[in-house]
Order: sequence, then structure tokens, then C-alpha cells
Amino acid sequence: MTDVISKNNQELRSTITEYLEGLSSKTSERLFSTPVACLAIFRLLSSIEKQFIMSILYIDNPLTSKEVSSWAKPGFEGEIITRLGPLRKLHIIEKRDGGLVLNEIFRNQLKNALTGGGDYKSFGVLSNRVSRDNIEQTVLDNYALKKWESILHYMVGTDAGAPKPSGTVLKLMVRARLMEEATDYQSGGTKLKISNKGFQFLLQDVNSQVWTIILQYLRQNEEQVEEEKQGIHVVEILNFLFQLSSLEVGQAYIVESLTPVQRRMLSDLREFGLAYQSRDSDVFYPTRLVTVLSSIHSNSASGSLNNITVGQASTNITIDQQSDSSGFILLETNYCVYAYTDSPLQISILNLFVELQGRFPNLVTGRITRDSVKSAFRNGITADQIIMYMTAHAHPHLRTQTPTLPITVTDQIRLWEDEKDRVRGSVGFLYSDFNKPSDFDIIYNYAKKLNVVLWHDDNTKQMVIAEEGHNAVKAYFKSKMSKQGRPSSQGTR
Amino acid sequence: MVRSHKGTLVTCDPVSRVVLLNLDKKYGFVIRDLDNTHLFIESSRLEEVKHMFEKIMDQNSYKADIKVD
Repeated sequence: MTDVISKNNQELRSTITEYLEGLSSKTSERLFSTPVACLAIFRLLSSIEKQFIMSILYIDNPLTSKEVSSWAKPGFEGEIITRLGPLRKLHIIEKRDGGLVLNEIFRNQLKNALTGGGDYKSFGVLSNRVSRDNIEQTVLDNYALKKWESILHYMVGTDAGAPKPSGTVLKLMVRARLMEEATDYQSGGTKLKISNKGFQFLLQDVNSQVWTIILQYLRQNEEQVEEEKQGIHVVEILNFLFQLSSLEVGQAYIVESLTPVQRRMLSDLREFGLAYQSRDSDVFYPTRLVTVLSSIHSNSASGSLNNITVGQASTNITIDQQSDSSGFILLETNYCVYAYTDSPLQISILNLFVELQGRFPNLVTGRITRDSVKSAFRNGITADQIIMYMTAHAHPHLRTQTPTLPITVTDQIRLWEDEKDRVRGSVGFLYSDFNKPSDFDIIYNYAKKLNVVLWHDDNTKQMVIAEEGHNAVKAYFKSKMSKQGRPSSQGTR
Repeated sequence: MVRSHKGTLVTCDPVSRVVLLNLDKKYGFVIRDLDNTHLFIESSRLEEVKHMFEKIMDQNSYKADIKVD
């Protein structure tokens, strides 16, 4: 289970680094121009990469690759050079005078970040005076939670009259293909409907969800801005993002120090509950949704991936009210589900794969049935996602057991998933009635080389060739026949 | 002389194969019965066959009627 989850986290990490790797060297250098960005990128790196950077941070002359490989254990010299590949893609290390050297801007700003100095404003500027709208942490948490949940709730319950989020949010949802337009048969117009990807999104933990949204936001901004300005634009957004992730919840920060682009981003983030700013106020507050972004950096970057489970992640940050320190789902070996929740969002999510039967003020009951799980599969949800979700939100009672969920139920869910494609078809050509066994061998060997054999049986001398390989195989066989008159076993090259 | 047929190779488990062969008796779509887990059928019938198969499987799944109290 942890394997699946850690893989997810890794994917997540790789997406943001992948995004950074995709930036041009010019854009990267602009990005490096603030200490906060350098520090944030540094946190994203693996421990070996971090160690390398720390080692050469205060060395001014380029290092030859021979010197670098002398740091490795004997036998692993080549390894260390390949492990530095990602750093070069990120434009952090460069080749100069035949040696490796840290990017000058990155080096200076990382020094600034570590020892203080440079553009201290990039870490956000605290508001000194007591603001008229001084806000406590719990208020911020509730605000972020309410905003985020209302978006999720809208996704899952468009029919149940969930309030509609703002246009910015909706546009992003459609762009990220979490929702798609579908024809509304009642009114004849179109309305937004959750997509398969959206269903999967719902079952992820909050961290992953925020990351998905942020990455989509970055891509969307890239598309909107004309080429020449793009670099600056993206850098400002990334800078602000890194800045936000290093801020402290419950503190007020000054809006004035932000660029126009960043101010617009702030108002967009407000819609998602990632930041709070009362109308026309000159200060803003980051919420826990955005400050945890850096916590996943440090977690995943420190290589302690295996220790993280979705459940722990969400309990640590207690963003998810329903999954705070105690989970709420009880699952019994007889497939009965008891969920201690009154949140419409959680109930809607459960409704995706549980047949709900009873609802009480603080409890819903239901069962996992073949039909309920099958309908989830039809929505593109996988068995792993269902199991992961229930594990993450398991009631403390269940947590005392290993594995957390009853095996009978999890196994059955997987079996039901296998049932989904019990009968699989692939188009092809059946070859049969060969004149002699050697003809079969000739064709079989050739087709195997092309990797187009779908099925074969040596005893009955029959085989099925994939559609795309048919012409090639036919032509080959014909040429064999005409060349030798009769094909012989010597033709099996 | 070697012959080639166009069609669809169906991969399934032995139980499904028997179900499919029974369906074939009535509706006739199998070109050749290859082995325990493979059948060669007419391409145009694949979706129809899958649908019929699903229906039979649904009819043959039973659920215990446990009431949650």
C-alpha cells in the first residue's frame, strides 16, 4: 500500500521538477534571482544532489569531472556523474573551462538564503502594524477548508445544488480536464460534469490536489501570455509560489511588495482558499493549503517517502476536517461501511463506491457491493484508489489492525476490478493450414521478430498475427515462396 | 496451402470461454476455438458478444442481503 502512495508522491515531485527542467536557461536564471526561489528549489532536490551543491557552494574554481568522481566509492565513479544529470537540466550546474561549476546567480542567492542577505523581501514582508482584520489560525484553516471543500463538492454534486465556484476556478477545472462539458438533457444546454480524471482527483489527498491545481495554473498562464513576456511572467508566478510556501500561517504579509502579476495571482489563489485577503486590504494571509506545499517538498526530497501515507499527510496538516486526527470510516468483513461524518462532500465521495443505506446526524451507513464498486469503475476510479481512500480515512479502531482494511473486502474489490475485462479482444489474422510444419516455423520466427504474434500454438500449427503486422508477414512469406519455389526450413533466419 | 482469416482474437479465462461457446451455439460468431483461453471470432460481433457476456455474468452474481443496523 505504501508503495502505491509513495509512488504517487514521487510522481508529484517529479511533475514540479519536470516543469522546472522544462524552463529555458534564461528563464531559470531569472528564477534564481531571489533567495527564496533558490532555497525552495534546493529543497526539491534529492539528498545526493543537495550534498553535491553544498560541497561546491564555496568553491570558486570549476571542478573537473575527475575530482568529482573521486568523491564516489570505488566502482561508482560513473554513477555520480549520471546522478548530477538532473542538476544540469535544471541549469543549476554548468560546464565552464572543462569543469563543473554552480550557476553564478544560483550560488549567490543560495548563499544569501542560507546566511541571510540579498533581497530579503522575497521571503515575504510581514505587516508591522496590527491590522484591523487580524485573523487567527483557526479562522484561516476554516476558511481554506470551506473554500476547498466547496470546490470539491461542486465537482461531485453538481446536481445536488452545490454552490457554483467562481469563473476562474471553473475555467481551470475544465482546462485541467477535471470537469467537462456535457449536454444537459433537461434544459437542452450544456453543463459541467465531472470527468474520469476528476473522480480520481477527488480520491487523492489534499496535497496532491493542490499540486495538480498549481501546475495547471502555471501551464494555463504560459498559454495566455505572449512568447516574449512568457519568461518573466512564469518566473514571477513561480517566485510567488515559492514565497508563499515558505510563509507562516496566521501572519499578515504586505501586498505592496508584490508585482502586478503576483497580485493577480493572489486574487486567483483566493478563489481556491490558498490565500486570504479581505476586500481591498493591504495585507494578505497564506493558508495552510499553500504552506504545506513546502512540507511535501522536504518530505519527498529527504527520501523518507516510504514513511508517508496519505492518511498521515492529511492528519499532519489537518486540512481535512473530516479526516483530522481520527479517521471516520469503519469497514467490516461483511462489507458494511459506517462513516462518522456529516459533511456532504465526504458523503458524496463515499457514494461513488458505497451503496449508502442509512443516514443519521453524525453517521452514514452503507455497503460495498459489486454494483456499487462496478459503477465506480465505470467512472474511471480504480480499485487501488478506493482502497487507498478508505485506508487514509480509516477509523482509529481499524488502524490498530494490520492491514488496516479487512483483506476479504480489499481482495474482493480487486477481483471485481479484474472482472472488468474478463473478455478482451484484439483484431488480427489467423494463419492456419500450413503445407508443412517448417512453413509455420518460418512465419512464426519472422513475426516474432516483428513482435506481432498475438497467439500461437505449436501443436496445431496455428497463429494469430496482429493487424498491423499482417501485410509485412504476408509479403515476407510470398517472397520466400517465390525465391525458393518451396519454402524450406533453412529459411528460418 | 496456408490460409489467413481476418477476425478478433479473444483472450479470456476458461470459464468465460465455456460461456462464450454456449452463446456461440445460439448466435454463431466463433470462427475457431483455439485453446482453453483463446477464441477467434468475427470482429464485427465483439461488442455484442461482450455485452451478452456481461449480462450473463450479472445474472449469475449473487449478493448477500445484509442489512446494516
